[in-house]
Amino acid sequence: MSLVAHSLSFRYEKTDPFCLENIGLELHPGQCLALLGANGSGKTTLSKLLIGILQPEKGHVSVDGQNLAGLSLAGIGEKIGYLFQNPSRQLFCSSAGEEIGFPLQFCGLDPGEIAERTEHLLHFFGLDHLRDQFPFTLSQGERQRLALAAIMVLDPPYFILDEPTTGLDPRRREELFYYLQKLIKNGRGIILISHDHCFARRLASGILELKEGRLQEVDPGC
Amino acid sequence: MLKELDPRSKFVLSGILATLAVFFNHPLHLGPLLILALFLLPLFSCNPLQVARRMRHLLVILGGLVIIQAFFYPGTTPLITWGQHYLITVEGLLQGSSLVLRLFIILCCGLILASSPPARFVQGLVRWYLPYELAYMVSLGIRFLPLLREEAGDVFTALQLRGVDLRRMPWRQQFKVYRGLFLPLITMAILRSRQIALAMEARAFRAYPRRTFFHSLQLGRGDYLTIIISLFSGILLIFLHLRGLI
Ligand SMILES: Nc1ncnc2c1ncn2[C@@H]1O[C@H](COP(=O)(O)OP(=O)(O)OP(=O)(O)O)[C@@H](O)[C@H]1O
Ligand SMILES: [Mg+2]
Repeated sequence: MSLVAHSLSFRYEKTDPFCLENIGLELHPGQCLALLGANGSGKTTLSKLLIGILQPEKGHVSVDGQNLAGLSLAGIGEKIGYLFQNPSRQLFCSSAGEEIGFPLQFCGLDPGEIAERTEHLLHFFGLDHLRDQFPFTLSQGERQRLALAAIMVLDPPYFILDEPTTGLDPRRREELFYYLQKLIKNGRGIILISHDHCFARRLASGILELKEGRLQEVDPGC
Repeated sequence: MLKELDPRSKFVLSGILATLAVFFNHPLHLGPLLILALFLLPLFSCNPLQVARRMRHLLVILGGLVIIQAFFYPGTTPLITWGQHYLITVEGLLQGSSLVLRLFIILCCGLILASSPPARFVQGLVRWYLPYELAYMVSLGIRFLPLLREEAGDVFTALQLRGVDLRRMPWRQQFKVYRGLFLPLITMAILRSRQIALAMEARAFRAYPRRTFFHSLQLGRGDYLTIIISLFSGILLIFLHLRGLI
């Protein structure tokens, strides 16, 4: 049971040099890995490979023993929750409440339960008063929280979060910290991409850094 | 490479092609014109096969168009009859294929124009005394479309990643999903375009009545040659056609 990348290599154009080369990593349930790196080092690219939006040129990704290439995006989404770096890109409903409840409508849940789960997450992420607002007009931090809530609702075993703390005020960041910590305790695996080194080091048990297309382990001391 | 031509020469060339496409009305004329256009495309580093692959859905629709035209165009020479009724007539078939050939030629013109980066495109238009606000809007519109497509693509990826498998859904439910997405996507697009307009004004767009350009355009020998050849052959073809020689 784990999310594993087997020596991935990737480039955007066939004529370019590889922007990621021979990347291997392994994420177990109940573990949090932090992925650091400078702007443009390929963190988002790697996350897209791990979630199946991009396909590696060499190597493959497997989740719980299944090759990602054999799964549909919907199948992958049930196993891995993905927070886009730009949360606006993953919101598409006409109200915040609908946004959270959206996938549940297709799971055959009854409306009462959908409403209950939606309310719970709205409340947890402090979005109660915004439940009817159009997601695009929310503030940056609110949108970030909504996108987080929207991927939490399916409760997948793994999460890949591309800079979840950008735009959050200090209090929200602390709340997110405790929430993620609880998820990890409950056996979820998280890959956390962040420029917030302190946040990452506090939460993660392993720190990885992308540098010149390669992944290296970093000493977790602050 | 013709790709490096001034956008104005491309205007003339594609303008002539499009005019001819509208002017002629028989597959025997439109066919060779399309072949010519297809031969021109690689010179503008645009691979027609690749384009065809990307637009295969459109091709299917166009095929349908020929058939519909063939059925409904009132013709007098029957090809297939059903009892007393003419099902498909020669005229209908000709009309249908002309229509599709014409659309293809115009598509090629679009591809030729699109081989210039939008910034050069704007400059070309402004050099011909089009107000630059207008020229810029045209080019922004052209650039905005792929952006919208990319955004819609992201939304569909996000949608599926949230466990919604469109392919395995009954079509009625699929329709419901699409219908639900329609309004938010349009609203997003409108809000986004307003943002762009604001951002442009904030960065001094339209602050002065005239503007200068970072790269400046110059008509070269190749440009004059292209313009002269396309104008000459365009006029010649129209003249010959009017005299009934072709
Ligand atoms: N669609 C694309 N086509 C071509 N190149 C791309 C594309 N997306 C990203 N790149 C390039 O790949 C490299 C890595 O980009 P990526 O977005 O993965 O960086 P990142 O580590 O997430 O940076 P940031 O910290 O700014 O989010 C960059 O040099 C970028 O220019
Ligand atoms: Mg990134």
